[in-house]
Amino acid sequence: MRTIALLLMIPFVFMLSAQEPGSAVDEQYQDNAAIQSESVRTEEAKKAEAEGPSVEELKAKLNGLEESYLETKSTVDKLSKIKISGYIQAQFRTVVDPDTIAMKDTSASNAIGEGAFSGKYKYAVGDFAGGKFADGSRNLFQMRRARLKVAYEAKLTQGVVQFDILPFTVGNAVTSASSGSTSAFFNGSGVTVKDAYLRFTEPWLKSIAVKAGVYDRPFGFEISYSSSMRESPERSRIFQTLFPGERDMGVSLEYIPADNLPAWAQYFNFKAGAFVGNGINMENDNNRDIIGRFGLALPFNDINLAIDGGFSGYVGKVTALNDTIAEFDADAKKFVKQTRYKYDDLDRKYLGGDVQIYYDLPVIGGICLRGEFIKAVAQPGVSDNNGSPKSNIANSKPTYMRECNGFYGMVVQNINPINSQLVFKYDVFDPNIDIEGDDIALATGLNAADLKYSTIGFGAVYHWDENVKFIAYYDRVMNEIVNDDFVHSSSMKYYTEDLQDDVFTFRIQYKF
Amino acid sequence: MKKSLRGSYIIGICAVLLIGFIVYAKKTAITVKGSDTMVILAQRWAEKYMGKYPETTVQVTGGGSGVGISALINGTTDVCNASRPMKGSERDKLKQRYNSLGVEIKVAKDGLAVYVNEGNPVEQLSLDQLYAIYTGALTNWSEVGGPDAKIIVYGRENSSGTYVYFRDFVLKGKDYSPLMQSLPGTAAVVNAVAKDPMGIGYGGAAYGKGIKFVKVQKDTQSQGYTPTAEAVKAGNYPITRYLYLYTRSRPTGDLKQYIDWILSDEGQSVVVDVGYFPVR
Repeated sequence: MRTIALLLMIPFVFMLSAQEPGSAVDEQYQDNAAIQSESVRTEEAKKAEAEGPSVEELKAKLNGLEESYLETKSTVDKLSKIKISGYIQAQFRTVVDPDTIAMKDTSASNAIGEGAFSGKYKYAVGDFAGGKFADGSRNLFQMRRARLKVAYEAKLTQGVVQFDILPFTVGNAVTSASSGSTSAFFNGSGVTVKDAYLRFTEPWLKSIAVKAGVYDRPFGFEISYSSSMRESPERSRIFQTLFPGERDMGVSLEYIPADNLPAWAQYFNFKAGAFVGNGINMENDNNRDIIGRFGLALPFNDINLAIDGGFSGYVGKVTALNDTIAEFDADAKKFVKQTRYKYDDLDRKYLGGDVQIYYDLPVIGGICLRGEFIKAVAQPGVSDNNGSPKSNIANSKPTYMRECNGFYGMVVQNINPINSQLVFKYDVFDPNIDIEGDDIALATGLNAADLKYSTIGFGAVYHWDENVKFIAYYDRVMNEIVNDDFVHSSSMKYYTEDLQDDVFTFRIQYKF
Repeated sequence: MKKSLRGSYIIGICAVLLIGFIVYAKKTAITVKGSDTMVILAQRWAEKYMGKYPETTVQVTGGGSGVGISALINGTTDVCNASRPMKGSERDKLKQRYNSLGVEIKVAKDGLAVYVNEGNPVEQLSLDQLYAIYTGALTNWSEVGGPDAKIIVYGRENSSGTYVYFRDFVLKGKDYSPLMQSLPGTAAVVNAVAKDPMGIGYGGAAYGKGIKFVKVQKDTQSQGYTPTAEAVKAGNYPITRYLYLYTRSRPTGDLKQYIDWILSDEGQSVVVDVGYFPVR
């Protein structure tokens, strides 16, 4: 067996031994050839290096780069349609006279008794200046707004979603004598959708657009003036009352002149639409509210003056869930109740006018005078709350119909050398124009929801850079003084004099 | 003793701050941002002005008219160069932030040139033909008297004032052809057309070196003109525009002095040197 194996190995050994001398020669030959070709290549490379890349090579490279550029560009073009913006407002607010005025608890049920400080507010403070102060908190740090807006903007179409992302939401503004409740401040979830709309612009004039979804109601100026731009921390009391949350769900037609239209066509603009009337809530009846504004914009570029303004209207309905309707009798100076049909449709009608004047003062900077007036011909509310219902259906309490009006006037003066602005604002809201202070007596059955409020606000804005600004602002709030009859009334006695409900706000805003 | 020492410290710190402020205030810096068309012009102005007034620094950057106007609104530049008028929406933003419409100063005139490659036999084009070429309705040179070859269209990016002006004036607000290759800066357009025998581009007349200007006709019946000083001044060249400076508010102090100098004979001579046309 071993012999056979040896015999089989012989030819293998022979083959291997026969191959070895030949391979050495080949290797040597190959080495020489490699050296030669390397030297040829080196010479060619040196020559090519000396001559530089050929035009064809460069063209090919350039074409490659161009292709890559065009590919990148198309991706970037798509991405550039997505626009992300937002702002964050952090603030410190304080009640100006907390110890002596707001914190004294005189309720009989409180064991501490009169003269002591329980931490409970006697009346609502700060509800129109960034949210009501909760019992026990005389001052607070607060995230007022944290907005994130994502827009996709193609040439003629736009889709926008805006969120407010907060650890909690600020309570709804109410004017109530009895609502010292703490719950109003910390209600709701932390993330709310503020805007969600789409917008189509016609391709010819590029000036007429249809907008649908949830967005600012086209009424007046202050509603659509962004909170990130506004010089006062909050909107006027009348807007917070009649248009809580500013937004509504609906569809509207807009005319905003494009730059290529003739000059005469640039002088006016128009927005009007049909809205649910529920704020951002779902439709729950067959009524639509018609809201619109016709605006004028008159620029006098040569003298750096601009006069803008507009007229607005709101015609809507609110369905009553209660068959009792109270209408105000101006002669008797009290509400007269009557029984009507449940689910009766009640009017909600406002008229408004606004004006903004801009003028550039030499050296110091631009000044803006702004004013706005609203008359609510019919405003459905309840006995102790004159605010608009959050739904197109009023709550189950009897509906109180009031005629109200309000206005604000403000001056904003830029101080360009120090990147600042000075602000002064006077804001008045009379929720029941048919009655005045002294007539509000025990016999009339009226309450704080019928009181007129005036607010003087003043402050300063400092723009740190293009993103950051600081606002220091004081709200001096003055209420209508009621008849002395109320001295013994538990809820209204405080209104026999001006409430001490002034608020100071210091805000930092980051906008991106 | 302690009190007086503290008082001395306070006075000392105040003095240092005051001196620092005076030194800082003395050395004025003016920032200028915007139109790429105007960037060479603005740089020449800055160089000449700083040579004359060394205590003032003028910093010039480009980026396009749109970028410059945004910077003016954001407060990151003192002056914006723009090769187009400010849009209504841009003025609204200035109004909101500064209560001002902005101040517009016309500083030069420019004939917006149309370039083709030197080897291209086409000599003139009407506004209607340019409209058709740039909207993509006309794609072959043979349709305008040139060779049977595809027209390669070059233009500017949408942040450019030249882009906006050409679109609004020549294309009457219509969109550019999707086949147009957008390039960053007039120099890039000139460069591309110089290399591409079938290319066509537009841009400031000051950039038109090494390529051929096409004569532009108001219509096919009228005489064609290139953007020469005479044609622009006489109003014969159809695509003529102003070049602007914008400030947020009425200029004062050093800024006013700088702008006054730009409008002076000396400043306007720079306009001519660079290849544009003076406003006075």
